[in-house]
Amino acid sequence: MGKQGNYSFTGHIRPRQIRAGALRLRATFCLGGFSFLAFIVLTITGVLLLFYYQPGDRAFASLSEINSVLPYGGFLRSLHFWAGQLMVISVFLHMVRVVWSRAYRPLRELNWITGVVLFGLTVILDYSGYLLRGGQESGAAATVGQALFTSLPGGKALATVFFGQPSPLNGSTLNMFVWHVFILAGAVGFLQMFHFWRIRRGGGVRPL
Amino acid sequence: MDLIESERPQVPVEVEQSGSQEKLPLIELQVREYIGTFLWLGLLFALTAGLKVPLDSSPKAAAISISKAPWVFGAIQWLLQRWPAWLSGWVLPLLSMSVLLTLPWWGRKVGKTWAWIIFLILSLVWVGLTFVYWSESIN
Ligand code: HEM
Repeated sequence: MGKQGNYSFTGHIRPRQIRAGALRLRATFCLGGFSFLAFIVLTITGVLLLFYYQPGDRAFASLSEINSVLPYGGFLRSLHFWAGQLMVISVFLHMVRVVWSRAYRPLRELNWITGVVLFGLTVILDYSGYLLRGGQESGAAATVGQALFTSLPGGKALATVFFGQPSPLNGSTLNMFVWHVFILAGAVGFLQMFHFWRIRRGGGVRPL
Repeated sequence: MDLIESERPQVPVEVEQSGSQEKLPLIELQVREYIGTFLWLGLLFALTAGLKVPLDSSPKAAAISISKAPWVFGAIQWLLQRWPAWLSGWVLPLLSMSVLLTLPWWGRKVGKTWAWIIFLILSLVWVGLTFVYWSESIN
């Protein structure tokens, strides 16, 4: 394959050389990278939880079993939970860093907008995960969201699309599950790839 | 609008030769990534081992009266407990998101310092309310 063959896939998606300035800790505080790392951990632990978790009426019981019966289940759930909270915090702090270094200016404007959307989706993803717990607290939280949608004109249909039909005692529905696991997580995954591609275009380095 | 490689803005030579433009091999970044990953995973494992994640109250147990939001929506919940739903649940959050989305435009319009001040006020209000809600809900 000649000389170029040595630079495999990673060689292709990452630059061979980095500006020294971009490597300084205070250029990024690693916050974008930490957000991505959290997403990777969430994807791995999330897929493992999928093997056992059942949305709907069985949600609370299946989560309790994961938590206390399944080997390492409690550990897995705890990792998924804490990685989720850390992701929200690091995405927010990453945004503060971007504003502080005024990295939202031209060439990077589109990435700023992508970022704001990512921030919104990350927060909603965290909320949708909370609803999947399937107990009374999740039911209460789902009721608030559902009521907000129903208060809009024609909002009843929207509320059903997003929430399904949760009871005040159980917020876990098939609808919420599909949003959390496929649509929202998929959109965040896709937008991150776009974000990283734009970072290279803007002359930066990704991810950590 | 995309720039192809050759059309990227060229960095002036003086800047290119100053320290921050100096080029280093990828491995310098990778070493930092390994250290960062290690420290972050350390924090995650410490949280996982140290703080138990609670289960909800069972849906089969006697219904307890709760009005609860996860902490990420704590600020909205706090507002909802005080003001009408259309304002607390729609107008204020959507307005805040629109200000965020248009921050680059604000930066040009009112200057970088004001853009920073607007962002700071917005963030402090939301983070502040989140803490207020959270501290009220654990008491
Ligand atoms: C899922 C969430 C996100 C991930 C994984 C992510 C990841 C990254 C990474 C790895 C970088 C490279 C530099 C750095 O680490 O700071 C970066 C840069 C950037 N991010 Fe994000 N980001 C996310 C969300 C956001 C948000 C919420 C915003 C702003 C609203 C944003 C705006 C930007 C901008 C404008 C840059 C270019 C900054 C520069 O070149 O100095 N990102 N992002």
